[in-house]
Amino acid sequence: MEPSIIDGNANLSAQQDTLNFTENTASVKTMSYGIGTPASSHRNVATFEDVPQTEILPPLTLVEVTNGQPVVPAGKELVFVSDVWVSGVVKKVAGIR
Amino acid sequence: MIMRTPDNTARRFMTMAVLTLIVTLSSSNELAAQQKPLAFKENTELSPNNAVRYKELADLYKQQIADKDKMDQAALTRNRLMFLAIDQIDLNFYDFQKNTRKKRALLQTVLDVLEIGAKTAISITNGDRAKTLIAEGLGFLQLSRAAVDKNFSLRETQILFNKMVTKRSQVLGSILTNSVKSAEQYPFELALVDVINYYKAGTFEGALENLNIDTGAEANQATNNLEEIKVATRAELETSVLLRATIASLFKKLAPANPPAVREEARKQLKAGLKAVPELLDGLTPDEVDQLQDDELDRVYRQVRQKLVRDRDKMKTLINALREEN
Repeated sequence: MEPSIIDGNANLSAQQDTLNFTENTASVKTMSYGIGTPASSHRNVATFEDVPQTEILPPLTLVEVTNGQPVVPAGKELVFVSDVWVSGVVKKVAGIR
Repeated sequence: MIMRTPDNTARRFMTMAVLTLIVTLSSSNELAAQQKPLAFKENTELSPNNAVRYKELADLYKQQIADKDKMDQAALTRNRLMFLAIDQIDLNFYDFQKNTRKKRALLQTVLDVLEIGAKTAISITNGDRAKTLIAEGLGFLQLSRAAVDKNFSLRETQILFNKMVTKRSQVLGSILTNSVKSAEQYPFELALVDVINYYKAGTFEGALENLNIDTGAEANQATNNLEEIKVATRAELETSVLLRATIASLFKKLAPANPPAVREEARKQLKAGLKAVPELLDGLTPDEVDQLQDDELDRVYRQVRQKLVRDRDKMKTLINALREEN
């Protein structure tokens, strides 16, 4: 699936739901997520990779990273850490699965 | 009997390397570029680098532009002045390009010779201590070479030269377009702005600036071409979970390990699902759907599912069709 834009004015929960919706519907997994260009556009760009249609991945959780490195719970995998527009403000966000 | 000490070996290696270097560099003169024509030299009357000639044309332009009856001649003289400046810039640019390449080639040749010399010395030298010494020297040389390549950004230099050539052609195109304008529409002072841009396009600073602008513009354009995924509601997310589970279950049943009857039933259900959303099938008819093999089913489902991300109304229709057959 081609990279796509998600509105950075939406809150983190809505963006998380949108990424999971896309993963479920298109049978893909999110590979990266971060602010698009120009930076003033409040758009985030997501890239995806196809997964077999028989596969059901655990849902992706978006977590705001307030200081230092994100805390990844045991058994979970860090997918990305990047600057993301959240409710119109750039924040450091980690994607954990 | 001659004793081979590490000192002797190292000295011999250095002598070999220096001799090879001298032979290589002296033979490279044979490959020198063609000589500059007389017209390019400063002391030639019609050379673009001749200051007297430039001054004469500048004086002529000033006289013509002051006389309303000589505007056509003024436009011609303006063009001559402009192209003299362009000729000078071109000559300087080619010298600059040649010298930069020459320095890079010389540096790489010196490093090549030293590296080959060291490798040869290792294979022809007796004595472990001597071999170790040369090998350490070779290691140092290879690391130094990597540092030179990295810090002098040799590859990037070529990219910048490519950018200079492209930008210079663009600016020159604009100058040629403007050169047909009258002296009033396009006076020399305005033409000089374009000439300055032409000069700047051939500098490292200009190339870096243009590279930044172009890369930024390309990135913006690339983002503008992307499609937006509308923010999903909680209900849409729940529907997507159901869709994924339903389709995954049916595709799992297609596995060769399953009994043929189970596989055939799953195939029928998947095909029925496709027939329920003909708008998403890119013209695939129900008969053609019936003919699909398992790998084709996988491909068509993938395309349909990607469309459902934007065309969400059809999700429930597809799920219902898949589940009805269940």
